[in-house]
Amino acid sequence: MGLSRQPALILVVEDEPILRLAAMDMVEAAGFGAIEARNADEAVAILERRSDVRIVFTDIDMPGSMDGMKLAAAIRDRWPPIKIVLTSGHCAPDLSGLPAGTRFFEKPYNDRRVIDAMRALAP
Amino acid sequence: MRLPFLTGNSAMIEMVRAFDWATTPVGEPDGWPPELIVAASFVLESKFPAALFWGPSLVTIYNDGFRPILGDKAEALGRSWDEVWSEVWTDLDPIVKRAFSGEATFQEDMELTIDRFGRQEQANFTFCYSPVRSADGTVQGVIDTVIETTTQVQSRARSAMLNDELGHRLKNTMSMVQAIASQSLKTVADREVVNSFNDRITTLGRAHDILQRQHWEQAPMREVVARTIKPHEDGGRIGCDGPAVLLGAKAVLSLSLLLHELATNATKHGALSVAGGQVALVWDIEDDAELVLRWQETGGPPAREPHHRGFGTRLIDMGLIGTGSVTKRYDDEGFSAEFRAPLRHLLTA
Repeated sequence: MGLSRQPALILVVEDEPILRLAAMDMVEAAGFGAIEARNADEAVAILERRSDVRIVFTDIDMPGSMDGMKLAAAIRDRWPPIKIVLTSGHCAPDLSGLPAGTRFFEKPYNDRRVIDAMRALAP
Repeated sequence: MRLPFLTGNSAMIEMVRAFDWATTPVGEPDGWPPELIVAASFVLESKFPAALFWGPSLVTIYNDGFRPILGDKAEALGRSWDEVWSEVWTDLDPIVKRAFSGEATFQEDMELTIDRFGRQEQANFTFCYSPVRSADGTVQGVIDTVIETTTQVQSRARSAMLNDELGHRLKNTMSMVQAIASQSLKTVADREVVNSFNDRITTLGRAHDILQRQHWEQAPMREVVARTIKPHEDGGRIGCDGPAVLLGAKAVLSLSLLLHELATNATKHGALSVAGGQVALVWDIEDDAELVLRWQETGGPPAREPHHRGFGTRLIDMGLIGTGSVTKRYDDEGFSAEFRAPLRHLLTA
């Protein structure tokens, strides 16, 4: 990202507080802006309020009315410019219905690879 | 006594004796053809759940073992098989037709939504429909030998679900360990240390993932190598080759961590630290008894033995499943190492 621009903003969606904290730190340490949501419903509420989120980094397995896959589908339909990075302790999901460029990282993930993917999605 | 050919006295034999067969298309037993008598006594005197359906109207005779399968259905004896199983007839009809055309079928754990207790219920059956022929070779009826496998199918599904959940929790726990480590070690100035730790946990997670998919039993070595090498692979620079070998759970974890250290070192100081450098990872079985794994770096800077013996070096020196059978060479062409371990230890470890 150029010095003149604001750092790209990443919305971290994770129900487990410690993992959310670590993900926020990871994203901020890489120079991105970070905001957090505890579940998909909170994430949708944030996306409805603000228009500066570039990437949503979300866990798939979360309680609430939507899991991460449903959140990703909602982002595809309602906020198509936003890029999606998914993570889960389960095996790789079917990404075929999601926008090209959507990335998946299995937990436990490697921070640097996730950051590399984010930099490629929001240069 | 009616039906003198039936010598036993099970509940179903009593019922067959007492039944008014004149009301059915097969008529009174004294007029039954020999093949029906043989088939009926075979079914009724068998301890294995079995049923017979006879003639174009599929008149049903079944044994004591078959009773639980029918549940609270209206009495099936003497009725048409298609009427007894009307709720699943679209599933059964083709198999019945095949049997009548002379072709036996074997179905394993076939899932049927049956109604035997006044409600729809998913049940599984492993069964065989065998044609029964008269002397001229025409199929007159069908014998169904069957075992209900609903409980087994459900418990397999449950154990698959538990396996999946266990793997999921394990990987989430490893993520937590990583998160706790990065929070606890925030003030550590040498980020390299924290990164190596997290990378090793990621490697361990990947190894567990392979094992989980193999139900925590043996995993193919090729898959372990491919999955461990992949994150380090930079455009096919690590060439892997070797025969099919199965590894036990401990060997999978050991090989994953070992390969991770080798690949990390190659990326940091070895062949993969410069453009054009390559690694050959080759394994073979010697004398049907020993696995030999060779790691050969070429095209990189000259290899020099490290001054500091860190955890990574010690992991490598432990060798495969801790056998300690390791030969390392620091040559001008690059680093190389050879690891040996008995095959039977790799499989059981």
